[in-house]
Amino acid sequence: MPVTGVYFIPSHPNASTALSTLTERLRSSFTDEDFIPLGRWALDHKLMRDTPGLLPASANPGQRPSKPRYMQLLSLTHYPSHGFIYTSEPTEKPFHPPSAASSAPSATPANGAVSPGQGGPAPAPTAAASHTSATSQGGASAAETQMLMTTVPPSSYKTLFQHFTYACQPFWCHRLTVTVPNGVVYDIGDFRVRLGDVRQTWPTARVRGTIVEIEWRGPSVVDSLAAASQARRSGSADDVDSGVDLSFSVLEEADIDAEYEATASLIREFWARLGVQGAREAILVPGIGKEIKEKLGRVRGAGRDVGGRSLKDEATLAGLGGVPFEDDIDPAAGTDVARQYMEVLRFNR
Amino acid sequence: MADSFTLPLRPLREQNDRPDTLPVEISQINKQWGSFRDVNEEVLRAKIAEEEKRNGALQQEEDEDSGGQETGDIDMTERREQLFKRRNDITQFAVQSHMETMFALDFISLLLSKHAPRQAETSMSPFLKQVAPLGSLDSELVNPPPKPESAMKDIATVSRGWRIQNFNSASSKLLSAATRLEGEIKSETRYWNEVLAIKDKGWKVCRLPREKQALGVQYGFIEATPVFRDRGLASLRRAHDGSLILDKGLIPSGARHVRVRVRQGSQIFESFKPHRTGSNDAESIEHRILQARDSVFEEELFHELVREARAMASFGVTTRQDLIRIPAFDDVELLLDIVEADTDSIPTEQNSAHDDSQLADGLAHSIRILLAFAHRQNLRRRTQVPRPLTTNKRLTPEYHLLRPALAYLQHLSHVRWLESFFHDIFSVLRSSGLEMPEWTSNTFASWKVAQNPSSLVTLEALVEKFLRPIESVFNGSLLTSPGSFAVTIRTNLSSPPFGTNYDVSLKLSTISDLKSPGRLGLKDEVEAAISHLLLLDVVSSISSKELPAGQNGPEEDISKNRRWNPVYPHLGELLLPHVNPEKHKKMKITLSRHELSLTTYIVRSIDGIGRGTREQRSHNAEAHTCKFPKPPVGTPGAQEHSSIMDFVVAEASDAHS
Amino acid sequence: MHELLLFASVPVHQHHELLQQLAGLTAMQPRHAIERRLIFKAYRKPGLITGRVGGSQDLQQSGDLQRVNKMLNGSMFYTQVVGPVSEKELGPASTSMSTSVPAPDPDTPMAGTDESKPPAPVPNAAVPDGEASAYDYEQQPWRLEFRDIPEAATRSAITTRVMASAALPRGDIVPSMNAWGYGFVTEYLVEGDIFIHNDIVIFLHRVLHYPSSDNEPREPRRNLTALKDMEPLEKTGSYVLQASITVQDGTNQETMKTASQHLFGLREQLKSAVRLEQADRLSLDTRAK
Repeated sequence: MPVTGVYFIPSHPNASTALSTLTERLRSSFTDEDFIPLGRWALDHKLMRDTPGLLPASANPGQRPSKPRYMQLLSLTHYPSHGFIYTSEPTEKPFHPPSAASSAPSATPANGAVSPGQGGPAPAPTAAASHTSATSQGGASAAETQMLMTTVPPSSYKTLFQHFTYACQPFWCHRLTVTVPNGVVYDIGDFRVRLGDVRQTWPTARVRGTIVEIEWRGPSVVDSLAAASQARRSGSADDVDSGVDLSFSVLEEADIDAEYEATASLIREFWARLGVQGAREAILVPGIGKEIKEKLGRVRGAGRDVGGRSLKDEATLAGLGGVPFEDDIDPAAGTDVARQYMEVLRFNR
Repeated sequence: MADSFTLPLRPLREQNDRPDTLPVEISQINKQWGSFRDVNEEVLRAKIAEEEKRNGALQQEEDEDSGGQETGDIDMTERREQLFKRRNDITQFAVQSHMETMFALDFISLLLSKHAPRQAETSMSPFLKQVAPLGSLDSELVNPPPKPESAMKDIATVSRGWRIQNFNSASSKLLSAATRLEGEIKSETRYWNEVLAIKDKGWKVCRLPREKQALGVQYGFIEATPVFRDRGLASLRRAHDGSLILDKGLIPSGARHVRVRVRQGSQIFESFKPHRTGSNDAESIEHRILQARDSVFEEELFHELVREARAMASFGVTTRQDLIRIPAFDDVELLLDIVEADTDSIPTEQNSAHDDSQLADGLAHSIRILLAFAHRQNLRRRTQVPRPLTTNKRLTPEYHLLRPALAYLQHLSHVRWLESFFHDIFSVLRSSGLEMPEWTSNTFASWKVAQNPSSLVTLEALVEKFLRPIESVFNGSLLTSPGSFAVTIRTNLSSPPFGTNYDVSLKLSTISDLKSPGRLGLKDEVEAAISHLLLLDVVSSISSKELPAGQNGPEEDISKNRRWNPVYPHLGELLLPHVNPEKHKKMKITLSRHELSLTTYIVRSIDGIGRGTREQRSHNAEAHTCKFPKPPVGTPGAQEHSSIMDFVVAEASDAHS
Repeated sequence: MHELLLFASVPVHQHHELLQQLAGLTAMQPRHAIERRLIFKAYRKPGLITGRVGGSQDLQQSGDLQRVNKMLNGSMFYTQVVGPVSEKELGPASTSMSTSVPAPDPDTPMAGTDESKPPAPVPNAAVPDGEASAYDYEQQPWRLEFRDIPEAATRSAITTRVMASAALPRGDIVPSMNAWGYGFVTEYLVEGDIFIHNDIVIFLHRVLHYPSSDNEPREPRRNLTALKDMEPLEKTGSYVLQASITVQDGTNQETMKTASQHLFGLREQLKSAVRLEQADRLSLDTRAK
């Protein structure tokens, strides 16, 4: 999972986009040898909002307007093994008969990792009862609420979206669909750049702007960490060199943060060379690097246990339903860049 | 006159206004008067005379009658009246008789309606139906007159006789029924015993789906294509004597099998004939079931072969009627067709070489194994959770029957070629006295790799290997120590990219700019790449050879550590520098599959580094050539050096003499 | 996607015989399946349940607002998250025999069927025998299985309902489900055998409950109970026979008709053994009140 940055240049509905300008600048800024067109890429993004939040404030005079909650579904052709679903954490505990608040902490153990974007203690979303949630939300700085990343197999991506629009109307409302139908990929030195025009296809068709993903392909601890644990998951546990583990086990979370910071400045430098104004940047978005840190934690803590267990036999477990279980070798791949895309594509209609 | 008066009741026959046709008239005349041949003037005159005579007589009669007729003529009106009257009489008479008849009918109907109301009702008049209810009239015999004694006796005798006759016929009928039943029981017992015998042998006996009363035996393959699956069921009918008849319907009963022939040049090798399975009793029902099973399998096999062959048109496979023709490799061609079991092919060809039909046999076995494997795959697919129902039909892909076999043959031919190439070129090098290390081959390496024991049944895993790309690996090391080469041959006919390709990787540390050619498709390219590598190896081993110090005094200092210097290794050129710029010596090495040749000559240039034809050769210097393998002694090219290194050393010392 | 179903109740004494009959009909060995089924319920913010803002108020209800209100009052559903498990993962039984009386033997010998077994009657071939594989919740695969309430007023005698089935990531699924708007309610186990008959999936199964304890856990269990310690929901131990076909496009009358004809065909074939019939619509109501 390489370190990336995403920029979005909005444009007016009828004006031409910045795509041609960008391509032009890229060509002129770099020599031909460095500038290698690689192929095409595409993106599909669906934005959903909580339905109650759509009621105008006047409709419920007694209620305080709550923070909007989002669900974003993203599919990228360069991560074909899964789609991404990024959802605001629930602000209150789901209420149903046999539940009680005491079970909350164990239900969401993943919240232990605090993202660098949020300085203060993250609101433990499930622990707070509905009445106190608003006050604890106030502490969160950039993000409206903390969001949860889930990756699902590609076949489930569309099905789940249809399910949410069909069966979850009281709490999820489909707001926008934007796509990048045919983007272009270039290799430029140590960077890989993906460019494309963002088109809104739902509810009305219009052009939203141009999106640029800049991927650092130089040496990176984050990348090799992701690759190492991936190799271990897919291969047998024996051929993993224990030295690799040791080298990672001396890493601290702070090192990873530093790595992100350093690479971010490289990407910013690259972007600055193009000299395009009015772009929205998403590099160190909230929650970035969460999966990497979890991996690091697992490498350091659990040692050899991770992935030692062979995945379940497909044939025996293809159960009753129509969907076979597809095994995603690295479900966490691409979550960072997905967060960045979603950050800039979270339009307010 | 009045008595003879008749009234035409029938309608007047319509006058046929068309005169008879001439032939009819002629035949009529012939009948009446005899043949025309007999007609002559005399006869005609006689006829006329006779006619006149008769007419005269008639005339007289009429003359006699004319008096009465006149009175009739006069009394015309009276006659007409009479006519009307008579006609009226007739009509009345007819009506009356009709009425009487109807009364009689009604009466009888009413009488009968007591006993057969439905039938009687049809003949009753509506009026009667209204008036009298059905069955209201009955008849009864009242006071019959006493019959005479003799009549009574007769009746008694007749009835007794009649009864006896009936008893006789009944008893004979019962007896015949008993014998028939007995026969029936026997044949039924036999039938069921045979059915049970079949069932005991493990055949699946069931009711026919379309003919609920009949029994059937299932001998086909459940996983076959539906057409052939349904054919795997035949009804077990009972012959008259109770023996079983296997009724396959319209399917021809003769045993057929797929014949594989391999044509190599002008020779044709034929595969084995499937030996008759089962009991030796050719007429037993068991044997017939087995034969039916084999036939249905063979026919499905051929059907699938044709289907696959059509998809393989791009490989040059052709299908003509009932013959599949596959060009395998070189001059080998495979012919597949389906033949009746007892038809012998032309015996002369077949007898030519029985032991060489291994290839054909192997192919015949493999396509059958692969069909059985495809059946297994069908079972697996069928028992998976099905995809949601959609409108578009799913096509069943062709089975892989020919392609794995063909891939094997193609691969084998490539492997053999490479083996012979290595054999040739290495023996050339060895003949020159170089101590080439052995090359090793790992043919069909991909089949030997131990598959991880997955959940697949071992047998299926075994067969599945044959459907994967086939891989063979050749390894060898070089004279120059950390040098090696590896050639991997991959053949894949199951999925694109089709065909065979070579993966050549070379390692030779002394040549820095050597790049592995990677994936190659043509034999020539591979040959060139390997030859080139070996040439470089020879060059570098010559250049590493320490030459004995020359004897000449003045050059001692520079000729210390004299070596052949590889100036253009890729061209096989080495240079032996000399103090005298006029006397640089150059060696050119060429290596091919059949020959290694070294040529040395003096070049005249400042440093000796020139290239190819542009360099200036010294005119007087004779080119020394040395070739391996050595030409036989006595031929003009005979040479004195027995090894390449001898030549190299000798040439080097020559340079200083 | 749509799902068409027929059901039949199978008393326990008929179970073994029916297994054999189905194996004969489908010409396959039964595939044993055990599934964890987690029930989730959609929830909404308690304060906003009443989207019905007094109809007579002077708010001019714009079309948008009406739409939002309509959505707010749309129905909400229970949904299931299903995860297959193998019998070995269910934890060691108290005795060594794992397939005892309540569990049907997956290798029921079938007369007259092919001896070739499908490769998966004994689950978890990768694990060497004798070594019971511990259950690993973090590796548990999951599937979201949504079923709508069966369609009303269909004249055909078949249960028809909208369905969705989507694979989910492995491991702890509760945080994701919570974020998507679902809360965990309870879980149970389904145990049975699957047959495939052309397009029809025949599932002869029964529902098993975990042995009741005082404190019902409020999240999916991390450890499972041995199969023989589970308690059947139906005390007599009877089974449910479910025959289902899924149809990709439920609006296509042609395919829907084909699917029902296939089901009717099966009903006819099984007529002498069981009576397949439509289920009571309201008993399959998945709406959350």
